[in-house]
Amino acid sequence: MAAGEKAILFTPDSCIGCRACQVACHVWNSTRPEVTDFSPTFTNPPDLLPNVWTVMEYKEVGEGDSFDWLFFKRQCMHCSNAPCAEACPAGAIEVHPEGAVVIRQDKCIGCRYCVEACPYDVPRYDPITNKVYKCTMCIDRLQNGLEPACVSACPTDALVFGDYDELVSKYRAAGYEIYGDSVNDYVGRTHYVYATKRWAGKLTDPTYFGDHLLKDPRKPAVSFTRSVVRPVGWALTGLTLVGLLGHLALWRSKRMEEVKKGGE
Amino acid sequence: MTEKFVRAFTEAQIWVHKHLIHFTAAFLLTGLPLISGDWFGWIATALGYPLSNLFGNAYSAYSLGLQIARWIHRLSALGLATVIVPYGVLQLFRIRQWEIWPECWSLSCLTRGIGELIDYYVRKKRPNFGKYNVGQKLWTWAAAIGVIWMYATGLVLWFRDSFSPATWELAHTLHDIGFFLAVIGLAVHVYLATMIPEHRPMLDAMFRTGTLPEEFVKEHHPKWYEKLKAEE
Repeated sequence: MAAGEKAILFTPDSCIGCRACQVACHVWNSTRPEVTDFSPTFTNPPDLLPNVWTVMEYKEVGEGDSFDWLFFKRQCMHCSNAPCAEACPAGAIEVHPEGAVVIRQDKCIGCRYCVEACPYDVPRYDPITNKVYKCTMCIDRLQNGLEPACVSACPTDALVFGDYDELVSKYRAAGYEIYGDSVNDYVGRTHYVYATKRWAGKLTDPTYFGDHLLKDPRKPAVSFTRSVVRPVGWALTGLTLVGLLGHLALWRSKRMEEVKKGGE
Repeated sequence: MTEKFVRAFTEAQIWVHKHLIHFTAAFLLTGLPLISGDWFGWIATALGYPLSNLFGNAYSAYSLGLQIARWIHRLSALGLATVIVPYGVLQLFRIRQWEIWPECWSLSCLTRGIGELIDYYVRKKRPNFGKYNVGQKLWTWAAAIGVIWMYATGLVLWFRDSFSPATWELAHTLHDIGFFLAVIGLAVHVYLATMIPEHRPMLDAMFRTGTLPEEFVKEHHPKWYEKLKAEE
């Protein structure tokens, strides 16, 4: 498979909720599945976990007499601006040219700054290993010319993988509404892309998919620290040091004047 | 004629100040690689490299260094608490005798104080200061409030599981703001204390003797001198 920016595109229109993707993720990554009880919904386990990097969410929505069962695949969105990678002080989160955002476990120190920075609430901390885990977009498969495991396992092509722009253009031309190719300045664009015709206009509606596909994904405090506190803080520190050097020169000149006057 | 000396700092103040310096240095050295790995990552590498072989593949040398830095940061917080909490509690019993209270409470009073600071530190004049000038008083208050600020936000970050994610995010931002304010304040404090030759007797008093020559007090803190003379 050629190198370059890739996307995994999920369309809930074709998803049958079989969870083959969820199983394939566990198999390929050798992550232990959770033993769970039935949750109030069919989503099982109910949320992402350190060893559960993707979850199929089942949501019942209805308007008037109509009723829909939505299937939504949840995992890391693999943002191009990757706020998690920017927040990581250990440089443990790599953004690959394919678009995969990957946590290097040998570098992760478990500080959870990535958890703070992620607006999609994806990275999961494991207190036993003191490390953070999430979907890797199967970077090990991509680099060996294979599709991500979840895509390979999907029986209905609800998950497809390919060159980013090509895939998005193809689906857009076919009349699909897209989430991910241009989100905002905080996350950039996401390499997990969502496309729908059936629920057009509802992708960012919280009743449907909008509780995860946020209109303006952003962590205000993290964003403020990054764009205001640190640049302004360093600038003021620099100005202070320059000011003190200036004071040193001024004080020295005054002392020299005094010495001169004393000598006269 | 033998030179007369005036006691400016108690042994306890000298001891607490000395340990404040040790722990502040530890906080800065271990916090800097976390706030800016690009500029201060070398500190993490220096801390982690010697021990990296012991930990096998669990951590890279750099990450191990960061991990060590985080633990030193936290242990320093505990260490500093053992020094300043008892000292702070004891100080509360003599709150009325504190010499860092403002002499008057008005904006004009503050602006006059700031004008005197400019006279003293820029124009090299000798305003009628008491034991502490407005700058020294403000710095002491800022340091005390800053320590509480950094402890409050730092403890949220340390024990983040007990708080909501929104609280950690806010605490992290406030801890960062506190860091920059502390660095700027410390730069000014250390500069004024060490780089002005005329003020060196203060340095001796704070680090060694606890006393100031009477002539220095008379020239630099005349109001305090008058008060001392009146008490004699």
